[in-house]
Amino acid sequence: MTGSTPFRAAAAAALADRRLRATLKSAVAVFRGNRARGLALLAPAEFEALRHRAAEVRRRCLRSLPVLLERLEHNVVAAGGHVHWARTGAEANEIVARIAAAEGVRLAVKGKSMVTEETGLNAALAARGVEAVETDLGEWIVQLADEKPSHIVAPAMHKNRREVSELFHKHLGEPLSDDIPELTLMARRALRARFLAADMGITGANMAVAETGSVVLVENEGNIRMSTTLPRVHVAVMSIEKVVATLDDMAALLAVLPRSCTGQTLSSYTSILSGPRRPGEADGARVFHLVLLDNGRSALVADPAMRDVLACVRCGACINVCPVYAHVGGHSYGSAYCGPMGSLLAPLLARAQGAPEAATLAELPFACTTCGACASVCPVRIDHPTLLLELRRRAANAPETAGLAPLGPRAAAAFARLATRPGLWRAAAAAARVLDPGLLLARRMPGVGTAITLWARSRRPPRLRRPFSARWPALRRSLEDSNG
Amino acid sequence: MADARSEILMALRLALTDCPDPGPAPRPGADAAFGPADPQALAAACARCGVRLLPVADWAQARAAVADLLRELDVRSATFWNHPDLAPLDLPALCAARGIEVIPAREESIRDLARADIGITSALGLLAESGSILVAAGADTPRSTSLLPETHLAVVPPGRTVPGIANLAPLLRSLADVQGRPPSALHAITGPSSTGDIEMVVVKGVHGPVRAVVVAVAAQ
Ligand code: SF4
Repeated sequence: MTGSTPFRAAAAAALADRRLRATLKSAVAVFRGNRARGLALLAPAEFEALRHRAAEVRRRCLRSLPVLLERLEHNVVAAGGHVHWARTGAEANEIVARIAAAEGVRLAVKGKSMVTEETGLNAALAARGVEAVETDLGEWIVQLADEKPSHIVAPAMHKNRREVSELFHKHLGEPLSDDIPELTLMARRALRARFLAADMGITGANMAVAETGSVVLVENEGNIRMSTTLPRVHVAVMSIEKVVATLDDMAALLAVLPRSCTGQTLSSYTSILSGPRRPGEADGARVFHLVLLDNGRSALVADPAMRDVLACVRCGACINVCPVYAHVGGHSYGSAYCGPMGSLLAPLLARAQGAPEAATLAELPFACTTCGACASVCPVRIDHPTLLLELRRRAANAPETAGLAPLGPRAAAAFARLATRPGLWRAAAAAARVLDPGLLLARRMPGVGTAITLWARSRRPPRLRRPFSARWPALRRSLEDSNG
Repeated sequence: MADARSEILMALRLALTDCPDPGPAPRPGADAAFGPADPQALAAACARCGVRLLPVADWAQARAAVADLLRELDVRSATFWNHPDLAPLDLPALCAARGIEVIPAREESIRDLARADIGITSALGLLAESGSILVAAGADTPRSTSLLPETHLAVVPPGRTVPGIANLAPLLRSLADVQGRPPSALHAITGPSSTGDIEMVVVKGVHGPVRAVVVAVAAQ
């Protein structure tokens, strides 16, 4: 467990950055409070019923993916749209670039999209002379700063008003201000001009409905409505797992997505778009393209133990309750995806893609306390800890990642046994973390000693000012808050 | 080499040999688009999402409420749908009386709507669970009217209560054209445009309207 890796170095740097940690802490607290307030409007059993239904929808639709994708394609075409298939991120970028070239596009406005972040679309378009402007406020701030998003819902969560103001001063010539509404107004003015001038709007998709060929987009700012209403061309890039069968399935997911994300019953704008504008209509894109991206998903479908990861609807709830995320921030993960869902999706996709960063991303599952807060909030009931433990086991067994694993195969097996006995696990972990900081006791616990000892050691990234065990009481309090 | 489409579909079919196709999706819950009005639920939902709700008893009151709003907001320019739902308001006369410039929603000059102080639409429905204004794109119902002006006002005729999110499915089905296609766009507008992207501080009015107002006409 010596030596640094990208995650450890980034995490250690983030941990040493006091301002960043304070920002993260208050931001995730706001998210958690919003979600709690939103859910308090429903009886607990009511929300559980909605979760149950959403979990059923996602799993059922994953099981009939090929049929649903074909039906979706058929109905998008029937509605006057075009459908493209991309095996890799590079293929998807190439498809979008070719559409842009064919349509004579110079300026594209973009809605926040995890998938185009994953494929690196902006750089690919820039290389072809197409300017792609992010229009989600947080995403735009991050683009101006030439950084990467640090949260899937609030991309600029790591930046404070001063830093934003300095960016607007530098790039827009605006006077410095620490008034957030004023800063927002500056952005509105600057981006309005781009919406009105753009030739193409590029968005992701929260889901697509096979029954009708509709793409569903959920947002609060209105930038996605702008991007799909004013430019001539709308291109939606969606990963293949996001298709659902029917409008009822769509409604079932809408009933949990904003509630889990921001606590809103619905976000400010839910748009259900079915093909391009029809004859006689005065606005809306004239041309609609849907790009269906695999980029490792089909290989994940082929992995029954991990298939569940694809049920994710990207609400961000698991990220906001994750004690590790709150301490290290989104950039530490080295991927477009962060937190518990990112610790699963990033290594799995990288591996399926045969990407060079697969070996380093394989470390992410090890940065988990297995506290289970993520699984308890997930609106589609993904059981992150169990899946993360399975990924640890795999990493420990694979020669190219065995060095990353703080656990040898034997210890990993002990881990797996523990994972199936949560009571024992909790007791052992609690002993290790709180009662037994020297790990003298845990080491002697039959069958678990090695695992716990190694585990607890591995929880101490190098160069931390305070060991993890010293931070545990505070972490535990924050977890209890979030679960309460 | 196979093309991307067949390769992806083939990979998925092989990947799923361990589990049978689950067959058709269940159709639980809602089978009707509309339900009885629930003024209290609607009012609470509108308050939560920041839609200003003005319930009125009839069309005469609706017209008065619109006139009041135009005065209160000191509206100088307006754009509105040319739709039968709004006929009882006689918006052209209302605007003329107050010297308000009317900006028509024409295809070639749709960006001019960004100049309008207010965009007035009707709505297919009001979603009681969330306080959403439901609008669909069509030849006489452009999307920009509810998007580009600073204020969006929806005047909603009686009998348009959509009880819950689940009812969106039957609503969309009921809107299908002869070829079975839903409208090119259906938007659930749930409050003004907003962002929390700087320090998680909520600001109303980022890219879309700063204000969303509903005048809801009660059933007689
Ligand atoms: S894994 Fe679950 S909680 Fe996390 S983002 Fe996805 S759906 Fe939300």
